[in-house]
Amino acid sequence: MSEDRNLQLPPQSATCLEVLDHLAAGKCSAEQLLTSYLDYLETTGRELGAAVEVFRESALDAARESDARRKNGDRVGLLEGIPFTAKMNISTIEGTTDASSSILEGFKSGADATVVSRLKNQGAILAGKSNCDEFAMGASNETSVHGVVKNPWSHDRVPGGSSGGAAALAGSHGWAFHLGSDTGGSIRQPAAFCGATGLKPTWGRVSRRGLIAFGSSLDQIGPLARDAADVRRVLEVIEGADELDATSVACERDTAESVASDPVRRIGLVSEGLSEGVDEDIRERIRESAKRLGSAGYEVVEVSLQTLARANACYQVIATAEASSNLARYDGVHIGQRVPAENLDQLYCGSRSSGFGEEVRRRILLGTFVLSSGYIDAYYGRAQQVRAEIRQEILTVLEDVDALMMPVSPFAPFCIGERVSDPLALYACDILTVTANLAGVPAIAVPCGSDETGLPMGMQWMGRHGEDQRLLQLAESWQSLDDSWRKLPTGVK
Amino acid sequence: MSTDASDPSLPARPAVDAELVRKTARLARLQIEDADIPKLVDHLEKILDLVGELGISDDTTQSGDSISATTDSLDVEAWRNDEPAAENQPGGPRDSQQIGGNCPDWRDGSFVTPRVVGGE
Repeated sequence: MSEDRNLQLPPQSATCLEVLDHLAAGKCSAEQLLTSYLDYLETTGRELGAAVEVFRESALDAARESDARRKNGDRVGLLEGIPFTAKMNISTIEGTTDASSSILEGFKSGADATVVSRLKNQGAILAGKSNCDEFAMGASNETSVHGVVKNPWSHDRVPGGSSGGAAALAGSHGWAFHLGSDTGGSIRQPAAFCGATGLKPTWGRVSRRGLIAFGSSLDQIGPLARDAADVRRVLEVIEGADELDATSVACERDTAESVASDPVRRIGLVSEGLSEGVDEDIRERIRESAKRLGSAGYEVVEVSLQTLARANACYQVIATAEASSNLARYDGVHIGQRVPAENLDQLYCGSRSSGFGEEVRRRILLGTFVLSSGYIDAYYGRAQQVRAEIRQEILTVLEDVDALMMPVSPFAPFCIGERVSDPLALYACDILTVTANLAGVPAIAVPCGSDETGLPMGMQWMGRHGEDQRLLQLAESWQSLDDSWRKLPTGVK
Repeated sequence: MSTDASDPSLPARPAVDAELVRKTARLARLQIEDADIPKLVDHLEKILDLVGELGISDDTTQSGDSISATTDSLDVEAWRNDEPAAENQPGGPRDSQQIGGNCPDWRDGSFVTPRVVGGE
């Protein structure tokens, strides 16, 4: 098939759903499609630092099986023949799952995460693993043992993080999707930096089984893709209770059908999200977008989220506390890297100190401190109270509006090396995204244009628990008004 | 180190010094090089100043009285029972070869560690 593989391939900007039609019409085979995507991962994906592992052999086998199913008239899945990647902290049978940390160098999970097995059962083809910040701790993809990821729109800038590899791939090529994880904005912020669409689902809607834990009450796996319709399709495959994840929720959730007759009508523009701490051109773009939504028939009203100012402080306490507990398991005994030692204590301390990178060690230290005797009430206890206030305020405000709207990031993609040595500068990336994680509500980032230098800009909406589909419908509606999601970086066909 | 967390009028953050960093690192089972201490003191100070924005104030305390603290983001009562998975079932104990394959030192079906009893 290789001799004519480029003849009928879709354009790189095509979406997964468009390419599903392409495949169904027989315009190209899954093998042709996949071969082209593997080539992309091996070239641009590697050059960007976004693709860490590429599974050419197993993926091509899966593609041939997919083609055989179509040819034989067998059942085809909802994502039949579509390539995808998983973040390095999501378990896959293929390759390694090291969370971009040297302490887990060479770790073989031996099983697929539930989300990965559900995708494979619907015909999606695992093409590789994407780079991320070490243990998903970072907002610039500069803390990975696999190296820095470049923003596809400007190679001297960061792609955001921690799902920076996934976002760089989603922002530079269509007809594939990518699994990321979002603990404080790690899907949405890189999606915004790279011109992709990314969803953090309601906490519990998607199984976390197979995700290497960072902050368990905040972590959520979600998709990144070109547009909201692709994200919706992936969500429909990966969502639902999982008996292997005690925290996946078998509660009511909306569906595409249920929201068709009850779409988002009233949008709350969060005034604190347009404060002076946010770049002026981002504020302007969000206001312009709100006006466009108003012209399209949505009722947009200004609302206040007073707890937004305290959300980042609350997040830093809770996320680091949970991280210090979750990462206590890496002791040099059971899994991962070990240093020579004469006694057990040396083994623990030596292995952890050499295996964890600087940012992870810093967060473990902070998390240990806020949980330590004498300080736990003042920090962790109070953070839990503030978290309850944040959730209560979000739910109260969402009684009056269907969705909340604000920027994803207070600033544009910054230069590589600009913030990584200053933790406060790095943590400032999270100020507009952590609220959704603390409250457990769904949130989606969508492109809304570009700044004067051509860098992508993103906005986000948050919704009520379980109303992910309503957000996706709003995002699809927006993307029918604004085609900035369709654009690819210069030089990409 | 000069504060008592039970005191509601505590300052925004405790004094951060090398001793606090070393003590916390010890709790976290992390080795800290002396050369790294000044930077960690600086970073911890800055981060704890940020965390001071939690509102360690009367206002938060009053709010806390009316809203219970939470460790969860959802009010869910439909959690699956937390029961151990059966041997060789998904989520259950895996075969020793797989476990050993990820272990830095695995011999005869056991994790090997330096001497525990009788050592320092």
